[in-house]
Amino acid sequence: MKVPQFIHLLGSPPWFYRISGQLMPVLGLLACALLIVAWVWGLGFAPEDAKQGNSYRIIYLHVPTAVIALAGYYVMAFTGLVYLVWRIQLMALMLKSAALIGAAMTFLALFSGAVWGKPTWGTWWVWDARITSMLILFFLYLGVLGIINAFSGSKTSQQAGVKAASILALVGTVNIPIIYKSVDWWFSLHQPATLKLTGKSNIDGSMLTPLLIAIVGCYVFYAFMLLWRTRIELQSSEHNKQWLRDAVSKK
Amino acid sequence: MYFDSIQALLHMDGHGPYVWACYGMGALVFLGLVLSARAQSKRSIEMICASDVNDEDVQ
Amino acid sequence: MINAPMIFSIAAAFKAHVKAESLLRWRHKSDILQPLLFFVLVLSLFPIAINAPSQELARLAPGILWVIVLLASLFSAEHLFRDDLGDGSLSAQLLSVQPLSVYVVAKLSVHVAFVVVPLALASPIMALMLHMPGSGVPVLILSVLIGGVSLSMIAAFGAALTVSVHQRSMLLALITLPLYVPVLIFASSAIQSNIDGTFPTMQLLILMSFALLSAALLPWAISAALKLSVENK
Repeated sequence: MKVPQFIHLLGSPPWFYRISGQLMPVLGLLACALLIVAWVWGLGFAPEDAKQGNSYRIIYLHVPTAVIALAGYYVMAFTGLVYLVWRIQLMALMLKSAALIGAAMTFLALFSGAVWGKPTWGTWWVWDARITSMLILFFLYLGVLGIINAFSGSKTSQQAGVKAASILALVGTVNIPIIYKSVDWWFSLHQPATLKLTGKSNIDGSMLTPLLIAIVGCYVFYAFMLLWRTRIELQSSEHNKQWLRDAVSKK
Repeated sequence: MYFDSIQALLHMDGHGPYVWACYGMGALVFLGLVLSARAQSKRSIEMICASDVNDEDVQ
Repeated sequence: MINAPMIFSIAAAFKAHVKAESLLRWRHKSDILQPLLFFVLVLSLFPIAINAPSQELARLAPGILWVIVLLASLFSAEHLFRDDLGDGSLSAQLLSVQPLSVYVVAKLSVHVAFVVVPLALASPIMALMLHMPGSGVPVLILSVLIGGVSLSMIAAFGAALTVSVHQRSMLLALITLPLYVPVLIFASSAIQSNIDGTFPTMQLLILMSFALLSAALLPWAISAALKLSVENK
């Protein structure tokens, strides 16, 4: 199969190391700025929601992390696919990083969803479609992390572990829409009407802007962390290479 | 600011504990990701400086 | 057994695998009873733990039965590839001219026959113990038979990924159970729907599509997982 130029370049660790080193400060500062603006705006300046009062302010944490949790799974599965097809070592390292950050984001989305549920629905946990799918997504992430963890040891064993994690991530990708649709169908059969509250909250423009900034900020933060963690994985897996030593000592 | 005072911002008409608990956990996780990455990065750079160069298996 | 470079046709290879595997299972007849014993054991815990009037228990029965079916299929698949990896016959399969998925499908067909079918046949007795209305029983048997195919495939996938790992039980559960969720939903909903008076055509068709989908796609994933497990050994 003909390898596209972009992927070919990703196969070169020194190239990735150099480019990510240049990108990271920009992404880090941008993420920091965007998130601070979004959260200060959302917490202190956006107006109160007519129905939910101030508890709705959790949206500025909940929705961005939930978006990243799902998008991050697809990033992970994509790196897994590229790794399985073209055997690019860098993708293996990126898959490991994506699994960890994605799991952290999924945890945050679940946690903030549960805490948001208490003032809104009067209960910490509701078995509705979105929460349940998010929980299952969390389990899928933990499965990938668990596989990577279980295959620690020699280098060949680690590589086998990343292959296993890639296959699992791909199978999970096929399954996520199926799981979501089934859970959605199942819980919509006997859903009490009171829970529909958050579904169609007409969100005002003045509330929407900080939300969009928060989502973009989280994406940038995700990219920043992904590059950073991949660099760290690269540093430890290639620690005895001359180019890496040169790159480190140049700083 | 939307709120009249810092107290009102912290209290948020009774929803404060929920909102601030979320953002507290959010700060914890975000900072945890950054700080653990920083610690690991330091460790791996030390490892690079300490290890012998072995370029035999470079493609 | 020495496999000379004979040109097996796929069908012949499949038949040979099925025969060998069935013979092996038949020699360990007591293993067939294990999932059933597990089923009864776990099932008897529920009425003890819940201690509810029988109509309450009957309402929970489809869900309880299906959760136990999931667990039984999970545990019965845990050692599916262990012996083949240990004695090197899996490595031999990798060298064979036939694709590994032939071996996988043959092995799983036998697994379905020796684990899922007995579970399905035993399930009416379990339903009786939970006071489930009789109208749910035919659909219960059907759903275990159809859903069992997907369950076996998914569990075998988890088992293939983890076969070379120590301490695999927890990891296997973590990988497998989330993937079971759609089957669980439509199977227990099918039984409930039949008890409530409508024949669950839709649910059964969806279960059937899950079975076909997993039977078509997962053998590839299982083969790939087995290959890397052999590498990792």
